[in-house]
Amino acid sequence: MPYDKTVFAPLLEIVYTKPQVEELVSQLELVLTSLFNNKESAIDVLGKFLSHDYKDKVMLCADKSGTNISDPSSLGDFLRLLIDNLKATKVVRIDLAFVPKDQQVAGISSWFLGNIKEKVFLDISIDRNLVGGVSLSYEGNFYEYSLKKKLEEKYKLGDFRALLKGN
Amino acid sequence: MLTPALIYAALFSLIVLFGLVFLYSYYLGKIVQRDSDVYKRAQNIIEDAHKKAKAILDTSSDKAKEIVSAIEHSKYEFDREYKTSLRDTVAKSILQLEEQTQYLSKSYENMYEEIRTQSMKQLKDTLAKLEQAGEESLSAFRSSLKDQQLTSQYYIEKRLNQEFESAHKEIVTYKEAQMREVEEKIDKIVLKLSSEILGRAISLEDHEKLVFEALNKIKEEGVFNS
Repeated sequence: MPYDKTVFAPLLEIVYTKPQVEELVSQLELVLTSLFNNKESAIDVLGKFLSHDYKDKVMLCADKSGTNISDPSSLGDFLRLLIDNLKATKVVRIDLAFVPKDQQVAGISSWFLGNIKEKVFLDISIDRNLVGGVSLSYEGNFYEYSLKKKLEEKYKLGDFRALLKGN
Repeated sequence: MLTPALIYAALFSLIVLFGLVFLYSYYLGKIVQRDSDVYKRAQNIIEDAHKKAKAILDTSSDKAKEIVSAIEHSKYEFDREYKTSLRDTVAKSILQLEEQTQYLSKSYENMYEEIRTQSMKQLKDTLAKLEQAGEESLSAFRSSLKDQQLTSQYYIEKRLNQEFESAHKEIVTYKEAQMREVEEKIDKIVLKLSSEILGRAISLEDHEKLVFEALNKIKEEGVFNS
């Protein structure tokens, strides 16, 4: 049964990064494996393998899609589509000069959703040489908008030494 | 039955037989007599021969003894003469040998002296020549050595100057390269330190602003339009 992608929105709102989505997919696959071979109810199985936040959001999404959560078969179909959707979502690699807080990660993720109108997962690395700003890999291309690059463009190597000497 | 003829015949036969026996005995006695004479004669002959042979043997033995005695005497004489002769010969030979030895010794001494004199003279001449040649060679060598020393000194000085200049240039070049490398390293370290110091000096809020500024610029350049 096809679903509108928007039904996954409540769950995607709390998944920002590549490691998060990989962990979520792993947990959902465990749920799928255990769904039909367990005497426990489907909800119990969801609670067993998913974190509390993820479980609530998955149930909300399933409810919005009209899936019968008590029916393992119906829930299984929904979960498979959810997993496919998560795997198909674009990943943007960004290098930052600082370790961002969760709130800042959420902010960056929201920026992408608001500006390119598409959900992306962030693959964040830390490179302090950048000084500030960001370097970004998107669909196989690399873009650097770092403070380091700006400084190198503006000053020569010797200028820094001269600056330190006070000349 | 005996008939008178038969009896006469028998008597005749007997008479003839007696006659025959008588004749046989007669002649047999004759023969024996003759044989006995022959034997006696033969015995006499043998005895004579024996006596003659004995006499001959005795004579021969005496002769042989005389001959042996003569031979022994001759042998003794011969040995004595031979020994005397040999002694004389040996004495003569020794004498001759001594004479020859003395002669040879004298000749050898004369020859040795002559050779020694000649050799000494030749040696002196050779040494004199060698000394002269050595002096000449040494003089020439000294002269050549002096020339070579001067030439070598000139080339060594020239080569040393060249090497020194070359080494000086290499050192200067190496020093400049090292200095450049050090300066580049210093610049990189300074840049890294500056970057780190600058990066740490920027607050999280400013970092966030810089990130969004960068993202907005990327968006403005149309990176996400595709």
